[in-house]
Amino acid sequence: MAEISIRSVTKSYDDTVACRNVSLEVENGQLAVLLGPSGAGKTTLLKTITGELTPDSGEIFVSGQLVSSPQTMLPPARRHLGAVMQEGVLWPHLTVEKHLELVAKNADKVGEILELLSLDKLRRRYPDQLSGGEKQRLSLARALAAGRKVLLLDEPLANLDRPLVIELMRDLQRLRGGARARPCSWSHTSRRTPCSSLTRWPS
Amino acid sequence: MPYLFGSIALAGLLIFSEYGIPAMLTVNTFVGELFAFMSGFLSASNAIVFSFLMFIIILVVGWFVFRKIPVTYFFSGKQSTHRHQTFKMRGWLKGISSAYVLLTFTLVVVVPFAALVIRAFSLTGDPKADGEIFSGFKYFLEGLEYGEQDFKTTLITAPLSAVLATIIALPIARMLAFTVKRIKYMLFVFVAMTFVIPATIFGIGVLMIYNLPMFDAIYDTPLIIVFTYVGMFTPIAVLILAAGMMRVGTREEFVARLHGVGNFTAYTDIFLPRIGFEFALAFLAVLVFSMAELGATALIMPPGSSPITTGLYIMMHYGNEERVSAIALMQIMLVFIPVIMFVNVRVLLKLARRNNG
Repeated sequence: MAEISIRSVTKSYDDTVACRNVSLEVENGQLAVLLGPSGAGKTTLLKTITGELTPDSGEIFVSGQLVSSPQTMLPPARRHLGAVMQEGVLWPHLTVEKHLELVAKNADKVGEILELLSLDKLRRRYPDQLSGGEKQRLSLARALAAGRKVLLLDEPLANLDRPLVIELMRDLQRLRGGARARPCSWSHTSRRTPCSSLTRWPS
Repeated sequence: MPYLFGSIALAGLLIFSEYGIPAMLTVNTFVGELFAFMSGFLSASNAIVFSFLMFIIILVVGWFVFRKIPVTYFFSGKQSTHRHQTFKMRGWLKGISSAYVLLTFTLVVVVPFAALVIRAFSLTGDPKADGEIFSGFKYFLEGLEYGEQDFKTTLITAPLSAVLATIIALPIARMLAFTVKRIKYMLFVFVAMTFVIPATIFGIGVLMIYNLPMFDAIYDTPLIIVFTYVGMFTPIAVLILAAGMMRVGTREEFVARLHGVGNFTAYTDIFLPRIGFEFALAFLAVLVFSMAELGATALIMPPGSSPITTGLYIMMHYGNEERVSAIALMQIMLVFIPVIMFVNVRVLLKLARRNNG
């Protein structure tokens, strides 16, 4: 059974159609990448999966459960998804450690995840005291700490220097190897993304 | 241009609805006349009819004013989206501008404050007649003695009103910030319009309601003062909180919920702390406005429970000028203390956070 199944989803903003009749399947265990130019509607599609936007038509299933359709909108917490948003969307008033503690199902894992993503020395810092790459890693760490089976990464390598891109890709590969979660990456660039499935958009 | 006309109309409405200053200067204005009708029970029914007519006029004018002015955006001290480039002024223009600002500040703030200080410390006293030039804190001590009960009433009713108004404002502000455009627009206009409803008209409304037999338990207690302040100043808290909520948006809360944080925890641990600044500001604004309210308070205050504003108003007509000045200065301090505390707490919090990092 596909982990994420998108069936004929259309979403528009006023007169602009962001996604038109999109269908996509991501299998269990796959590291899928969706590639497309800026403004192609990748983020809009991700937002319809997370429940931030309601599709105009079509259906989205996660682990076989209908989560989004014009009639059905499952609350975000019940979608069992983790996400790294394009803008990070961190909580400026919480330290790195608190970010993870708030979402962690298992508090013992917090230290482990911080170490895994080399954030253990920054645990008492606030987001505005972190660099761009550290913020991306924190966003990823938060999604991991939530213990979700599916991770959605929106432009996870955007705005990062080359060394940071390599570092983050290593992190992603390490995560895959540890079978911690299955990332789906939404990206406008194909910079050596370590994926097992690549969908170009518009296909 | 619409903003200019809107601002003029707003200023006009606020000046029209002002009661305190004309009353102190014993100048007859429409709201003053209404007050006289009502407080003297000369013609309560006339007062009600006039109030209703005024309310309708304010609704109509206010609708046009607040459609043009996005007041919500003025109310968050943390708006950082509109940073404009500054003009470089020529030397002489800078001098004229500075002089204009200084003159306005002197006339509006320094002169009245200086007059109060001179009176309160009796700096103009005649040494031969009074035996002293500088009376020290004599009138302040007297003022405290005379106004003790009034100060106590203010210190109980104002903070209580501020707490209640801020809490009541929270859900309304959330609606204002995040509902669909049409409802949001209408709600905003109605909330903003309550600003310009004259205090005396509000007081008349409160009197009419709480005069009903079922509210007897409230009518004769300081609770009626609290309810009046909450009714009058909740809209201010709503606008301040809504500005903060719009600044923060819903995404941070959404991401928390997406990662499995419960709705209540997402609200209390993510959303509320992010509008902490506006929350404190809303509390402070209601507190300060409640401490200074006169128009409605003078109508609704129960016997023996007058706050310091009405106490001062009465003393001004019948009391010693030096003592009145001393009490006025103490009232100013009473308002300034929470403002200064608010500013300092922010600075301390920032420092603590920097050290922590």
